[in-house]
Amino acid sequence: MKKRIVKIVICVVLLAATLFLLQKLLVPKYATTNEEGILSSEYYANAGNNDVLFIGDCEVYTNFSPVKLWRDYGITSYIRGTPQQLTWQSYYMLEDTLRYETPKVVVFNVLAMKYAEPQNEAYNRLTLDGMKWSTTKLDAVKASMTDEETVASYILPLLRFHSRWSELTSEDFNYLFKTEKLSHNGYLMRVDAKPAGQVPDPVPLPDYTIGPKCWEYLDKIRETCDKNGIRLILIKAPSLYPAWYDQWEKQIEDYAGKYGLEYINFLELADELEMDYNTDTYDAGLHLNLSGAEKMSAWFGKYLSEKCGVEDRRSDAALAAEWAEREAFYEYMKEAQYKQLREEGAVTRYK
Amino acid sequence: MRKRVLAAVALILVLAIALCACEKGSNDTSINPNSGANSKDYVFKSGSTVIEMKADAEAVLKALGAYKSSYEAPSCAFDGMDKIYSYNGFDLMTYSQNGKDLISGVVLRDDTVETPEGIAIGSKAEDVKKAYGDFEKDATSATFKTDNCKLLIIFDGGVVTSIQYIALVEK
Repeated sequence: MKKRIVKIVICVVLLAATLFLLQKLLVPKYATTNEEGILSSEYYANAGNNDVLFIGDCEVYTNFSPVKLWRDYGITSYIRGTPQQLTWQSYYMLEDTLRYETPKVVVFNVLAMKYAEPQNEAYNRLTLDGMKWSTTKLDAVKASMTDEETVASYILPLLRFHSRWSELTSEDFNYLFKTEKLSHNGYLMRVDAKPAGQVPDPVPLPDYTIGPKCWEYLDKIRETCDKNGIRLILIKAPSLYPAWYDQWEKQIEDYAGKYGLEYINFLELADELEMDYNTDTYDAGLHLNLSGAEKMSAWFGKYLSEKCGVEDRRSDAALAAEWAEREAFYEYMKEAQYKQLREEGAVTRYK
Repeated sequence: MRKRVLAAVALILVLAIALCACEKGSNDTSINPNSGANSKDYVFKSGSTVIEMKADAEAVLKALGAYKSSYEAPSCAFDGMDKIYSYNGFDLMTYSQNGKDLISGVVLRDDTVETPEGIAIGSKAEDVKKAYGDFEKDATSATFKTDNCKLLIIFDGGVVTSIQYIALVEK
């Protein structure tokens, strides 16, 4: 009897190990392509001691530099931004963060309020697959899934990616068990510049009403911040494209007014920020480059420091040591990208 | 004992192979958000150039000749670039799929151009009904769908203010 149990256990362990290895091999690694898929998981190694939390889409993770906020103001911050992060995903990012720490200020970028419903699996995966398992992640998955997706495929990604075997590349083997650091506390650096030029006129919409699901989750973000004594700031990043319509602006202003929230539309502050759309964006006005992100951070750091009373923590030796390492990585990546620009004429990889 | 271990290992291998052997199909693992195929639909015409949604953009761009301006909007995370070309009276949008640029939309910008059915910015809602079929009275917009194209017409006070051809592409 005992022998039989041992055999069964061995079989189960072998099966589990095989499935584990297969899953590791077959899921996308986001190491050299679609690197933004790593952002979500990078947070956990940096959780704790972040006084400011940014949540939202690419308009947060390309437009603010936590290292600049630290250097100039001693503000500790983390950007839990992911590509096309939808409003409900931002809420769950906040809820997930609260499992590890309670920031003093949460900054939410409102562009995603334009998406009333789940959009597509590819972007869902970039946000959700990297989250650690918890009831929060389960709720995030349920809120985010499109009709074709299943909860099971998030619990066991092998179910989703099992036929990727024919697409495997060296990346899948090289990064089977390791990942390389990509972001600077959630900031994704690009040093190159592409002038905005002539941005197309906005395309008229049949209806500018922000969807009920967005309001529902913005309410949840606001209520969660209230409950935890967190100051919530709504922002619209100064990206020129896609269009941010006046009708959306009015609805956000009204919401902020109704609940006494701060709302900063950086598009209206472009002159004060000294934003130069010829030199401060790497893709013609969609995302800011390092120069643009540092301008944003210089302005916003002052605001956080003076208006919100976020503490200067540079005198904390342990924190200063941690941030010194982050600054070194920041400088390393900056130099690596400038080197690419000098030698290859373009930035084709982050490092 | 040995036979059973071998059987267990064989079972694991069979399972592993079965999991790996499924071909792409309904369970497409592609992480590209764009997909779709061509078919006959509502089309926009500029001179003799027919612009069909999801059609290969290269030939259309060549036929249309020089554009006034263009703009490239990269995807936030994935390969490919959405492009917008401005011509007299309309904008042409493309998306990329499998290395090809395909037509994703046409937006009529002024009343110098009209649809092949004779509707332009400034047309009356009644004319739209005659050209495309009925829609709700006092509607602020009307949508007419075919397999690959959504024709969106927006009104203000019963007058057309925007006409948009939108490719029905899986997001």
